[in-house]
Amino acid sequence: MHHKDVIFADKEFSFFANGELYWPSKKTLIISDLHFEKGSSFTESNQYIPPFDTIETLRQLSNFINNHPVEKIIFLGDLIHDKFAFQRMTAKSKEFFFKVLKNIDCTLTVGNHDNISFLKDIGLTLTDEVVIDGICFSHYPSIDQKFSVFGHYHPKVKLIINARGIWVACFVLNKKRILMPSYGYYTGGLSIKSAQIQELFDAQYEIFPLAKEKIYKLSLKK
Amino acid sequence: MIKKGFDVILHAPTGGGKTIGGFMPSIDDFINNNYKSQEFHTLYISPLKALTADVQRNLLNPINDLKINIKVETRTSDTSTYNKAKQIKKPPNFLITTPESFALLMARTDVINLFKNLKFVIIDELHTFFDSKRGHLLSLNVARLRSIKPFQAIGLSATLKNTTLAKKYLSNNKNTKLVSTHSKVIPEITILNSGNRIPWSGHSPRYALSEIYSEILKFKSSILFVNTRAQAEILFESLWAINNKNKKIAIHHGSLEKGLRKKVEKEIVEGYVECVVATSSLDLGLDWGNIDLVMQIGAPKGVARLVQRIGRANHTINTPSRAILVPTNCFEYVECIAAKECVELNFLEDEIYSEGSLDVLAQHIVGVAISQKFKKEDLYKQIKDAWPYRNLNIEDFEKTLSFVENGGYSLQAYEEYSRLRTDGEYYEIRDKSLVTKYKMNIGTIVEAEMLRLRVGNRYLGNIEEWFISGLSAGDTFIFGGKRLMFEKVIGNIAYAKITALEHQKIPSFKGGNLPLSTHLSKTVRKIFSKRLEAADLPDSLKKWSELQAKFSSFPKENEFLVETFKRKNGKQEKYYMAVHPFEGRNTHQTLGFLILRRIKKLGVQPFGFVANDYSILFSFSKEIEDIDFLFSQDILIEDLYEWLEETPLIKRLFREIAIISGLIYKNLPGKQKTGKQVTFNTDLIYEVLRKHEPHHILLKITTENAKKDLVDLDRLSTFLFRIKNKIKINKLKRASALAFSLLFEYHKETPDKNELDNFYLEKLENELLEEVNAS
Repeated sequence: MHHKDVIFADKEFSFFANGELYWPSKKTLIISDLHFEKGSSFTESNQYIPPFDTIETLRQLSNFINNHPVEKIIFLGDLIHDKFAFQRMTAKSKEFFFKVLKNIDCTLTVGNHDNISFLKDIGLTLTDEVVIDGICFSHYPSIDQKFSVFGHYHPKVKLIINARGIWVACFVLNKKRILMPSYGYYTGGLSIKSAQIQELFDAQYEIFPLAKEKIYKLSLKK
Repeated sequence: MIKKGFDVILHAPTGGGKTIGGFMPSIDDFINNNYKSQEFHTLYISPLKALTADVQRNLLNPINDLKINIKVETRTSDTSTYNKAKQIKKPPNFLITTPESFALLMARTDVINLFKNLKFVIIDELHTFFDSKRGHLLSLNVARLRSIKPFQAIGLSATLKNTTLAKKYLSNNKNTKLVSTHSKVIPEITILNSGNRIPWSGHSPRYALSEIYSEILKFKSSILFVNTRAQAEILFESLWAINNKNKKIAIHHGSLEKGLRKKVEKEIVEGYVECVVATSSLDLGLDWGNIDLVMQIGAPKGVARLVQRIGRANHTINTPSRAILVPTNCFEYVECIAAKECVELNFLEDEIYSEGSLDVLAQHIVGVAISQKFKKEDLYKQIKDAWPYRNLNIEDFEKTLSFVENGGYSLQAYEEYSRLRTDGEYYEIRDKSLVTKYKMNIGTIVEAEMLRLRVGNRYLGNIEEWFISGLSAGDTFIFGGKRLMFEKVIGNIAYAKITALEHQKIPSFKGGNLPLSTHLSKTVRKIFSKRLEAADLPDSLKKWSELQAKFSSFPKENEFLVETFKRKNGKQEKYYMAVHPFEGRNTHQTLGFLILRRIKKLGVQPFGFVANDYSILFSFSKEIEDIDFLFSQDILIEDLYEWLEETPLIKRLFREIAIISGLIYKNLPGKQKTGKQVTFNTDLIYEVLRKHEPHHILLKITTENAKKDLVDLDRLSTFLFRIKNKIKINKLKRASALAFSLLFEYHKETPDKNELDNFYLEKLENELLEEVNAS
């Protein structure tokens, strides 16, 4: 699986082409913004999007776990798209979900889309943030922490290929922060040029665009 | 004949009083039957919103002269909500409307009462509906209206070849009559004779610019038709650069802001604008009596299209229209000869038609359900009465209905959230919120993602999202005749400012480049095979044709010419193969991709290909022996489907189908002002459907549409059949004159783009000429 290795907070991490952040020495996987059942949420406005996004996202996750030792997963928030998402999940998706996560220690740092009352019944540890070796993992950026890994923004970047711009998801990295791409199949994104993201990353930062099963690296200066 | 109650096709030239003619039986009936009530008596459906006001004006003149009390109104998306409501309360007798506004009327719950005294439906520019999704939508609603209240249908058209088709479309096998008052006056067409050398390649009329300008000066008013928006922009700019007589020249194309377009149209009517450079945006349209000259710059592409354009000049029936053709390269010169010949013989293309598309049907079913509850069998029968849907089978109908209900997935995951509910016999909508969504999303024209272009505090028009996405701040381009510098995009608005800098880029208009018609292509082939030497050609064209004859040959009528040669490109030696099917750009693009796959199968590394309306040029790493294998007919089986699934074009098509069918809504109540309109990335949906529901109805529609519109499968297979065992291979030492135009294109597409300008074109052309002369 295509990936780029980076040093963050003096530790070795890997960015994977599907949006996984892997911490090999801890056998820990970090993924963000899965937005389960985003597809079916559109039935509210009479739009019947193919209801296969949850299963696709899970398949991607299961594929990663089968190929790497994973003892712990930190979901960085917005695991589900809305508060009724879990009820809408098909029996097949639910079964798959529990099968994938069996014997893995799972923590969810709660995001703005998550519905706590449902999620705590399914065996996830719920918390606002997790701090490991001085690195804070949470849905929103932890401004006052020295090292913060977070999601929420769904960063995307425009690549110009053959004079056509295409938007792809990406990791954003500087010395203090890692902004995670969204992991959900149907999720959209926010340009890294937007003010919300720019104010979190000072003068020098790197982006890692994800395109067609590959991950690239671009260094940017303001 | 019209009085007897038969449906009628009225085939008359523009300016022949077609509009009034169409209304005559209706007015007649109105007077004779002493029609007094405030109810709809006649519906007039026009393909152009812009035309409705014009038709109303033309109609009110005789009505007022005759002092008859007929209330005539228009109803389009521009009509205010207040006026629309008023029209329902006190209907006008004659209503002039568009297919979309008509569909919205048909979706009303009071539709039966509304049309209970309707007598006539008149459809203008009937031929524009045979082969379009808009035509499918219209036919469905006309069929439904017939089942509610029988009426007399009248179809109007100025250019009509296949009258049988017209009859079928209008009234599906009923005993329809034809009234033809077609003009016998043949238009006077000349091909512009410039003293300058006609380029071998490219699409620039620059060589003839001063002649074009002096023709404009000779006439009081003129239209210069071009094929693409990019050509319009360049020609407009170049004309103003030499406009020392200060002729009032304007530009008109479909992407200009509506206000600007209206202004130009008004100024033409009033005679203020003396010359307008236009794209197909002016093909149909206002009845201008005052145009003295039409010029067609660039290839005519189709005979009927040319006739329509020429018809814009001189709207009187007995004097010939005058037109000048300006080819922009040698191939186009031959095409112009062919087109002129066809027009003079009145040898028009048969109109093409298409089978009713199921995405349109899905949209229609929602409309029906909103209007009234229905039984499945009744609806099926009624839909089959619409001629484009006469062959609809029950399986496809049921799949479409199930898609409308809740997406039609075999898992039935969305059952409890359905749009429709049924008691086993009748279907009806689940809740009223659907009505607004339907109304906000009606229609079958899905444009490319567009951004509004804003300069200072005003809007200039719409520009393709993909074009802007390739720009960086500071890049310059040209739009609406103005040189602009790109700044930024916020929401769905692209900001730019006026600049004095030379432009680098010109937004192209993808839809503007129609392929060469089958008909014209046939005539072009004939001219090449037999009469090019006999034709009266300008010197530069003679030279071109002599070179071709001397170093290669012209394709004979019953043969398919393949030319191979090699060239050094820097240090690398490349092998080339030029073929000349003359089948139009779309067919060539598809064929190009398929042949490329075959070249790979032969173990030869292909570098790429380029195609235009006439030829395809391939480039690869070593000589190919088995050329017959490349063009064998079985290429259409496995290779075609493999290619179709990969091409990005199919995703664009899928997006259109997803929007028309109502899988996703472009507009939702309360969400219009957020800028981002389409809520969903349809590429993702396409991928996921292919994986999980490969037999989904939307994928089936996409494949069907692709076979016809993307690859023109019929034309491709006819071609492959035609050339079977007729391949003639010329092994050349260097590029022939015919191959040259694409060799130039090929260099344009390969990396060294910056080097490319007109200077480069001439350089390459001279280089080749020297090669030829040296031998």
